[in-house]
Amino acid sequence: MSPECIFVLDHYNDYISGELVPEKVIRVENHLKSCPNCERFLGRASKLHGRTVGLLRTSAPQALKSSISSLFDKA
Amino acid sequence: MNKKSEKRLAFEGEVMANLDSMYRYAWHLVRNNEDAGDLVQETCARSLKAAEQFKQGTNARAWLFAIMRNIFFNQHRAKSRGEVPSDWTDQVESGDQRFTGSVWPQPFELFLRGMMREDIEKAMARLSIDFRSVVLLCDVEGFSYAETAKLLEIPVGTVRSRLHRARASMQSMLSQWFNEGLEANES
Repeated sequence: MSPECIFVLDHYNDYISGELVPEKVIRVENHLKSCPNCERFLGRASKLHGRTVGLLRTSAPQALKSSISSLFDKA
Repeated sequence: MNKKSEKRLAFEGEVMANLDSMYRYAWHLVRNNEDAGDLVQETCARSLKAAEQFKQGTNARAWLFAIMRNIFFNQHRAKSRGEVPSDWTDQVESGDQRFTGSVWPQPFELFLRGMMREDIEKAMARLSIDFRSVVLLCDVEGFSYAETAKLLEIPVGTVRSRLHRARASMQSMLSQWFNEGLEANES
């Protein structure tokens, strides 16, 4: 494992969060071009993150929305 | 019927636009539909009383979440006092988190496709409330680390470490359950 692979492992969570500074984003992405292992790893981490977030995005029940509307109308 | 002021209409619009987010946050704090609904209602009622302080163009969602969090901690602290970071969290905290995420269940695509909302909810439920909150705020609601830190009144570095550990914990759980499912099918 190269120092650049370790750099990716150290920073992939912030990369996925969009919290990595641009210089580090460039460093991660440059490494991904030449390292299939890291590219696969980060791709899978991103997919898992996307799937998890998608499954957690639920909506409020309609009855609750109606009840809040009524609360505002009465106040 | 009294005509509502523009400011009041803007306030109500912000609340209604953020209701789904508020409900998700409430649900992950209290872990059941009824209490989540009550918490959202109470947050809306409290925010309504403070509506005059609401400034258009400010981060209404962060303001609403802060009100909700205060209500929750005032009302439910006693109930949640017994909740401690789970074994899963401890396990990840004690190890090198860089490498906990480096092993993926195989076949990965099957793992991903087969993942159900119930699995994610179950994994979230095993996290402590501190870890669950950062996942919700950063990952689901899209707050930045800095916004989340302000909301939870913790340092940005703590948000980062909790989020990384929470993700690693969830990945470990989901992987284990997937592998157990495969083994059960094979036997």
